[in-house]
Amino acid sequence: MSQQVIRVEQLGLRIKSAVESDQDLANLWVDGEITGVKPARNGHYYMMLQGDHTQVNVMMWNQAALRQKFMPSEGDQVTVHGSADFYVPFGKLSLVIDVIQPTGQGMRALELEQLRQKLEAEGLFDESRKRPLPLFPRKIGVVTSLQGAVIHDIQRVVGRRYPLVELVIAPATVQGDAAPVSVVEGLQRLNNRNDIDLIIVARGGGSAEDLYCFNDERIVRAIRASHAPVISAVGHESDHTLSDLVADLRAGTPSMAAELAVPDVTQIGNSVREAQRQMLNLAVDKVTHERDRGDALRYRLQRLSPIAAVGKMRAEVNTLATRAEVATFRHLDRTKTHLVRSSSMLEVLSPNAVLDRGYSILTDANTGKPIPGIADVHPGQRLRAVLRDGSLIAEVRELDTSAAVTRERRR
Amino acid sequence: MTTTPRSINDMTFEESLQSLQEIVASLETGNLTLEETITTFKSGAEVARHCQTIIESAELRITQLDASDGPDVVPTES
Repeated sequence: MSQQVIRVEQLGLRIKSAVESDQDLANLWVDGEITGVKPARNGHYYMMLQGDHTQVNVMMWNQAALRQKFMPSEGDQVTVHGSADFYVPFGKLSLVIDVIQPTGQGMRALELEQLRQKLEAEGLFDESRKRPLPLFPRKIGVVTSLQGAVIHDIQRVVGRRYPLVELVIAPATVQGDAAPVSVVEGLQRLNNRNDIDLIIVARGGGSAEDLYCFNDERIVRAIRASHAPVISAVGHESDHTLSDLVADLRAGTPSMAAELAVPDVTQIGNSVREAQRQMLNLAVDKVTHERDRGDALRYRLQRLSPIAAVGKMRAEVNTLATRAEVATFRHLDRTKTHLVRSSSMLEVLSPNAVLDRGYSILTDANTGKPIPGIADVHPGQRLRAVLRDGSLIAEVRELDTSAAVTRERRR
Repeated sequence: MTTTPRSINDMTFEESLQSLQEIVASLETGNLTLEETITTFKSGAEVARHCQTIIESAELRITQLDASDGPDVVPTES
C-alpha cells in the first residue's frame, strides 16, 4: 500500500482550506491573557493570547485597531473576537481579531458590542442620516417618566427660552425590562399625531445599570424610524447608550436637551426690533433720496423752462423800452428846443415881421418878383408895395444912389 | 418684493420671521420705487408687530397623553 507523497506547499494549502472552511473556527469569542504586544510599522498589531496550556498567535489589522477603545498591555485579561487564519508561507496559524476588550466586562458587554457593530453596519448611526432640528418648533414631544424632575426641568427651560411651543408629554417607563416597549410606544404615539416637530427622549440621572435599557435594539430602531428628529438625553456624558448614538442630537441632561431644542425668544425679540429700526432707516433714506432727487430736477427744470426765458426776455424788453423812452424824450426835447429856436429865427426872418415893424416890401407890379437892388428898377416902373395891412401900386419917379442912404443900410 | 398671500395675522411665527427678513432685504437693494418702498415698509412694520405680539402673548402649553391611546389635553401655564 503506497501513500501519495505531497509537497509542503500542498500541505499548507490543505491546512488553510480546512481552517477557513470550518465554521467552528470563525466568528469566535475567546478569553485569554495577552502577552508580547507588538505594533508593526503599518499599524497592524501582533500579540499572543495565552491560555493555561495553550497559546495562539493573534493579529489585528490596523483599521480594526483604530476602532478599538482599548488596546491591551502585557498581561491583560481580555476577550477577543475573530476568526482563525492560516498563513501558508510561514505555516503560521493566527487568530485574526476585530474586537478586543477587557474580560471584566462580561457577557453583556460583549452582546452590547455585538449589537452596536450590527447596527452600525446597517448605517443606523451614520451622520448622514441624522436630521437637522427645526429652527422654530411648534410642538415638542417628550418621552419620559412622570416621576422625577425631567418634565419640570424641560418645562422650566422651555418656558423661559421659548414659551411659544406646546409640550406634548408621552409618559413612559424609562428603567428596567418594561422600558423598551414603553418608550417605543411613546415614540409611536407622538409620531402618529403628525403635528410633532421634535421629540426629546429623556430620563434623569442614574447608574449605568439604570440607563442600560436604552441600549435596547427596539428603542434604537424606533428612534431611527421616527418622522420627527429626536434628541436623546438618557446617557451620561462619558458613557453613551445606543440610543444616544442613533439620535439626531445628544444632550447630557434634559435641561440641556431643552436648550438645544428651542431658540431664545429674547434674542429673537431683539432681532425683530433691530429689523424694525433697519426698515425705518432704509425707508427714510429712500424718501430723503427721492426728495433730493426731486429738488434737483425741479431746479434744473426751472433753469431750462421757457417761462424763465420769457421772464428774462421781458426784463430785457423792459430795460430796452425804458432806454428807448428816455432816448426818445431826450431827442424830442432837443428837437423841440431846436424847433422853438428855429421858429423864432424864422419869425424874425419872416417878411411878416418886417411888415409888422412898419416896413413895406417892394415887388414888380407885373411880375411879382422882389426888387433886389437899385439896379433892378427904372423910372416909370410900376411897383407894388406890400404893407402890413394891404398893398399899393407906385410908379418910380427917380432913383437915388447917394452914399448916405447906402451907409445907413449897412449899419 | 415678496408678499405672502395670506393675511399677516395668519402667519406662523416662522413665516413672519422669514417675511421680515425678505422685506429688509428688498428695502436694502434700493431697487424699489418710492411707492413700493412705502408699501413694503408698512408691510414690514405690521409683520414686526405681529412677531412682537406672538412673543409677548406666548404662554407655554403642556399636553399630557394619558395611559390609553386618546390624548388628554391639560393646558397648563408655565
